[in-house]
Order: sequence, then structure tokens, then C-alpha cells
Amino acid sequence: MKRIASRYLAAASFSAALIVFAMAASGARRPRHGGTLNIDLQGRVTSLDPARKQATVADQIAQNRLLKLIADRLVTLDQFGRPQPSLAISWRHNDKFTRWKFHLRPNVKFWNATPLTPDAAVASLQAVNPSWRVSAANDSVIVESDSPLPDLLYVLAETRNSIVLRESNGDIVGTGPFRLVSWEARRHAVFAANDDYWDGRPFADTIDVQMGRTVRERMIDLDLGKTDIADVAPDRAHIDASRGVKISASDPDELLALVFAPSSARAKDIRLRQALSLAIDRSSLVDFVLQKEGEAADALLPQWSSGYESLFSTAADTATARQLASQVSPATALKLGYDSADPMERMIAERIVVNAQAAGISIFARPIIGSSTNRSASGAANAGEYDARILRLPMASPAPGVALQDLLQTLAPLADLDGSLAAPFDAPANPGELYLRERAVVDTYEIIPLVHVPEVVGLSARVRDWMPARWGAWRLTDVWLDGASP
Amino acid sequence: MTAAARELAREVATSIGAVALPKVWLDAPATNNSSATSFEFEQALKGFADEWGKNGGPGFAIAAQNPPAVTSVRISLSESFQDFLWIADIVTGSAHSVVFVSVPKSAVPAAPAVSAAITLNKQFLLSLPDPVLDAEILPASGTAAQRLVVLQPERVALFSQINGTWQIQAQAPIEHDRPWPRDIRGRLNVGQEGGVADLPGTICEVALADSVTVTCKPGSEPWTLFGHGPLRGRGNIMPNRNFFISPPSADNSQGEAQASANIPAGFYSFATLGARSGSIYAFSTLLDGRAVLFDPEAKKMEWFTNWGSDIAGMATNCGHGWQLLVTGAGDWTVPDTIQAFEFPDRQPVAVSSAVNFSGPVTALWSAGDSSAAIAVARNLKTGMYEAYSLTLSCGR
Repeated sequence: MKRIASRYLAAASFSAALIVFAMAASGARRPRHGGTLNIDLQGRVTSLDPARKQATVADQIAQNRLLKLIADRLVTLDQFGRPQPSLAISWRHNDKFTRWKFHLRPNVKFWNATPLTPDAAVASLQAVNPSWRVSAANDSVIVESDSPLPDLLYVLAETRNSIVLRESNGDIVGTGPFRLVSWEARRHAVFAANDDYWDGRPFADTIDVQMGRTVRERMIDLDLGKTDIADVAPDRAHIDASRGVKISASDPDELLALVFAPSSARAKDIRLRQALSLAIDRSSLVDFVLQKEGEAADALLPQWSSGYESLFSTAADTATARQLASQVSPATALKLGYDSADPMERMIAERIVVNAQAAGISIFARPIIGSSTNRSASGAANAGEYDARILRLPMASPAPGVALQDLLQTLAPLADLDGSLAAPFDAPANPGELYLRERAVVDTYEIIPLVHVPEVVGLSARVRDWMPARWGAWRLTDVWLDGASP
Repeated sequence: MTAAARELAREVATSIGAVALPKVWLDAPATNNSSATSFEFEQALKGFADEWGKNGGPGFAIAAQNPPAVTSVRISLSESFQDFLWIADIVTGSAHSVVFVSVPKSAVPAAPAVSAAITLNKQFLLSLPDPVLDAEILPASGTAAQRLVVLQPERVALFSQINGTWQIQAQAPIEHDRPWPRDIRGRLNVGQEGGVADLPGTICEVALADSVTVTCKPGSEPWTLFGHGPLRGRGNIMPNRNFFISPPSADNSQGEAQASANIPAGFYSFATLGARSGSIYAFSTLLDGRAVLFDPEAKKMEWFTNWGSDIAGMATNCGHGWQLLVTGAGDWTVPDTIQAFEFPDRQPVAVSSAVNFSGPVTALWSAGDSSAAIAVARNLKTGMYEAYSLTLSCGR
């Protein structure tokens, strides 16, 4: 049977194995109410408004997690990724997927006691999706678009489409399982259980979130029992596991890719780009940089999502790379940029340089100063100085069609991609269509997939029913704490 | 799965036929890159081979080395986020094409469970997408056939057996003003014509005929946790929570309180067993993960760990005449077990093998006269709630 949610790393030490066993032996099965769940996040969230994108990938992931505490979406994905009713209890669409109608769940209230109305949902969705025409009709919300929206259910399940009230003082109010009690942007937030949550009060009474915690702080907090859930860098997972921390890793849901800048004259020749792709030993990136916490990326989407990644092959071939590189002689060495604030990007960049030089490709790696914003990397102060850079690209959705669409729309302005490759599909794309689209992108070598990386978290011994989705989405509503007092 | 493999064969034949090449090789071996079992994979491949032959394919010729200009087809079974994918990777000289046939995972039936000769018998009743809180099998009576009543958070449903499977006959919604708690509990106490369904803060009158009528009102009366043995166990559920506040009460048919007053407050489940001496043991699973046995005659309590939250008393004609079903320890991320115990000298002795479930047991109740129990498990693979009838056949 394929494992659905998370997996636990084989503990590197016997003591870690003992801890896991002891936990299982002392607990009761049925969830227990009460207690404060402490969370350490790497990211810093400036606002809980889903319309306000966060600066870095880590910040955006943190915002997504916090938004899920306070707000719901019209549609949610179950643990198998199937769209399920949430604030909408039913829906239908026209043949062209240009008009959708969602019937709202009755008797739902925001946690400031304001009833959820179609108008409130319309305002929330319209703020995030200006290209849609969103309107209210009786007890329904209608979404219309000039272009087809075949994957709208998956798009609406994304946290950026959370239904919120934006109050005049800037506060964000949701219908979610928790309500915001205390907010200190970029630093600290406290959430309390929403006793009247329409889908059942969560088990934890309180969630206390510390933001912007460093790797060291997160590790110490886990060691000292000061936190229950903490982000763990994939390349450090084995270290934390060996210290007795329970580790949970999602399926790899973030792509690290090398993206050539459209402005780079030195990288115009496809043979050079292909040579660099062939020179990169992705297996060693996984083994040594990620410490086996990840997978070599042969394509943009991971195998677990698309099912066809195995049709791509990016095995290192230094001889062919050397042959191709010898046909192209850029006047000067290629410049490879990486995020100056990301140690993993730095290690990957340095390894790529070693691989490339072995194939006779002249390249050097330099940090991009002040650019930790992956998705707007071109806006960094010195981003234009680089021929290529490493980007971190989290999957927007587990659904391959939505994830690929999002990746290509993100990458199109950053790379020299034919705009048609990022064009939306008119109908739900079948695997063959997705494969052809992805094949066309990968064969340009404008974007070189490197590795797929999981979301990794460390858990304290008292965390129970930790059942994240396989693509990493947390389900804190169901988490409970052993030893909590109801 | 096999039908999809057949479709793949047709698609490949069509695809290759379009280029009209002289020879086609199927590269061997086909590979299984999915979570499908090797048995399922091999069965499906047979379907492919069969269809391939029907469509004029040259069979499973294996090419050690494909000469140029010969079409080579590599078959694999892969798996995407939601589908199984049959993939044919077709190479003709330098030309390359790929054919996909997808099968939704939900369309692939699970492999049948393996049964074993065990003392504790598990009979599958039905599988539903929403939680099953309790169920009661109503035996055939007069002209009425056997029926199954199911309590779910939003409805009471009546099923009848057609061709060996339970098919819905009627249902009625449960009206409630407040949202249900997470891990909602519910208890059915119904006979042929109806009875009561207890839910947190709500009590529902259930009338059963050809249709179902449910009339609910707010209520905080104690639930009858079991009630057909010499004792009737009762408990008040905590509103908006998943446990009962205590002490649990057990009274005899005259309504005289018995046994359990010393059991601490706050429990998930409660059961009583008649010991050989005729005295009554009371059991309760507590919020701290421990279970407690109280022997009122000896005025002694015993504490146990490594039990799950749910227990149910069973009355049988063998052994000590009473057994306790106990779920496994752990949380809801792992498959569960149920095992039967007896308690000579107030210490647990396993009298059955542990029966495995495909996910956590979310409900376990004594049924009817305690000769059976109802267990509900949430299948970790499908997410469906599977209801089972449990009986003990001692002596096997």
C-alpha cells in the first residue's frame, strides 16, 4: 500500500527509535482536547491577508499555514487530493468551464460573529483574482472568466483563495477552526480554538506561533521541548532524527531549478545549456547536499504528482557534456546566481560549478545580494548580472495540471520561454497533454530541473494524529497533544 | 486496471498502425512503477497481451537489440497524484511518442482482505464516505427481512440486504443547531420500530418502518452505552467534546446503581463484565490513556496501559462467559486492531488473536444483547468508514 500522508525517517540512532516506540505505547487512540500547540516557523509573515504575497518562499509557506488556521476556502482537498465541499456545499459549471456557480454552506459565521454571505465571499475572491468576474446570486457565488477555468476547484482550494473579511482597521477575520488572538507581524501570533467552528472545534485550545526562527533556534526549541512542531531544513533532517526528534517529510513538493536569464547572451546557444544539464550530477545533489531528503528532478513535476517523470532522463553524462561544450565557447565564464540567504542554494550552486568544470564549462557561482524573493528574482538589485540562477518553486497544488500551469506562468517572465507554453488549458488536461507541454519546456534547456525537495518538520513527543497531506499541507485541526488537560 | 491495459493495447496499435511500420517489438520486461501489487499488474498485463493479439500485434516478441526502423514499445504502469497511468513509450528510429491511458485510483477495487481462522470474527457490513458513529443490525421479524440501521453525523439511514450487500432503503436527516464536535460520538439504541439516537447535546427519536423518521431536540440526558445485559451502562457526554463526564453509572434492571462510582471522572468508553463469581467488573478508558478495572466486591482497582480508547463488553457461551474487546494503542495515523480479553484475578488474558483493521477504529459499541459488537474503522487507504459486525466464536 502506498503511504498517504507523511513518513517518518528511520531513526539514525537506537535512542530515537526508542522514543517513537515509547510514544506509541503510552498514548490512547481517541483524540484528546486541550493544551497549547507551540510552533516554530522559519518564515516571517507580514500579513494574514491572502491578497498580500509574502517576500520569500519560506514566508509564503508560513502565511499559507497560518491562513489555514483562521480561514476556509470554498473547496478543500481531502487527503487524497480530491476536491471536497468546504464553504461551498455544491457547484456546477458550463460546458466551456467559463462559468461556475457555488452554493454556499448555510449558517456559517466568521469568528467575529458576522454571517458568511455570498457578498463577503465575492469580495474576498475578487481581491485576489482581478481577472475573474465574481458575483453573488441568492445564496451562491458565481465565478466567470473569459478564458476557461477547468481546474478552478483546485485553484479555489489554494490558501490564497481563503475567504476572509478585511476589516477597516486592517484585521483579517476568517471562518476557520482558530481565531486570531494576538498578532505581531513577522514575529509572533497566537490563535485560540473557535468553539463554534462549523466543522467541529479543533482539539488544541491554543496555537502559539514563533516566526523567523533560525535553524539553530528551531533545533534548540525542539530539543528543549519548547516547541511541538518546527520547520526542519531537509539537509538537516538526519541530524535532528539522530537527536531523537520525530521527523515528518512530505512527498517532494518543491522544485529547485536552474533558470537561464532571457538577457544572457552567453547562454543563447542551446548546446551550452544542454551541456550544463548533462554535466550536473543530480544524484550527488540528493545524496550529499540534501542528505537523501529529496529526489533528483528529471522534469518540472515530481513523479508522485504527474506519474510520467520517469519518461524524462537527466542522468549525468560528462563525456557528452564536454563534447557539446567544446562546440560552444562563450567569451567569458557563465555567472550562476543563488540566494545569498539560502545555504542550500549555495551548496547546490557550488556543486554545479564543480560538475560543470569537469565537463569543460566555465562557470562560477555568486550570491544574489538582497534577493530572497524567488518568484520575483529578476527584481533583485543585481539579478541582471547573472546568466542563470537557482530558483525554489513550491508546487501550488498537488494536481499536476494546476501545478504545471502555475510553474510555467511563474517561469515565463523569468526565462526565455515561448508564451504559448504557459497558456492555460481550455479543458482539464490529460496526462498526455501535460507530458507534451512539459517535454517542450524541458527540451529548451532554458529551465534545468535539479531536485525535488520535501517539506520537513520536526515533532515533539506529545504531538498526536499528525496527518499532513502527502504534498505537505498541515491539518492542525486534527492534531492533539498527549498529556493535555481538556 | 485490466480494462485500461486493454485500452492501452488498442491505443498503441492505433498509434503504430498510423505509421505502418513493418515490425513492432514489445520491450521486456514491462515495469510496474506504481503501488499496484505485482498480482494486479500481471493480471492487467495478460489483458494487454490478449488485446494486443486481437489487434494484430505480433505478441510479446522480445528484442535483445532492436534493429533500426523497428518500432519499440516499452510498457510501464505508473501512478500520478490521482490516477494509475498505463504508459507506452514508443520509439521508431529517432521518432518518439508516448501513449497514456489513465485509471482513477478510486476505480481500482482493493484487494480482498485475507481472513484467518480466529476466535474473534469480523464481518464487513458496509463502507461509507462519512463517519459511521454506530450501527445496529435488526434481525428478520415476521415478514420483515433483516435490516441495518446506521447513525451518521447528519442522518439516520436504513439499509436492507440485496444480493448480499446492504443497500440504502430510507434515510432521514438529523437537525442540529450547533456544529458537531470533531471526533463526534453517537449511539443508537433501536429496535424493530425505532428507538433513540444519542448525539452530543442532542437526542433524537427514531421511528423505523419502510421509511425513517428522526425527530431531534437539544438534550443532555445520559446516553445508554450498553443496556441489554444484566446491567445498563450510562454516561453523560461532555458537550462539544468526544468524552463522557463521570462517574459512569451502571445500574441493574431495577435501576439500582452499581459498581462504578469509584472510577475517575472523564472517560471515552465504559463496559462491565460478569466475573465467574457473579460479581461485576467495571472498565473504563480514561483521558490520560490508561484503562481502569474496578472490582466492587473486592473494592479493588487495577490499572492498565497500552489499550486504545474504545472497549466493548461481549456475552458468550464459552470461557468465562464474558469477554472485553479492546482497541489498540497509538493514534489515528496507523492501522488498528481489536482483541478479546478475559480477566481472571483482575488481570487481562488475551483470549483471541488481534483482528486487524485497515485504519484506526473510530467507534466500538456492544450491540443488542452484547453477543456482538459494531466496529467502525477509517480505511487509511481509501478514507472510507468501514463498519463491521464482531462476534466471538470461542473454542476454535
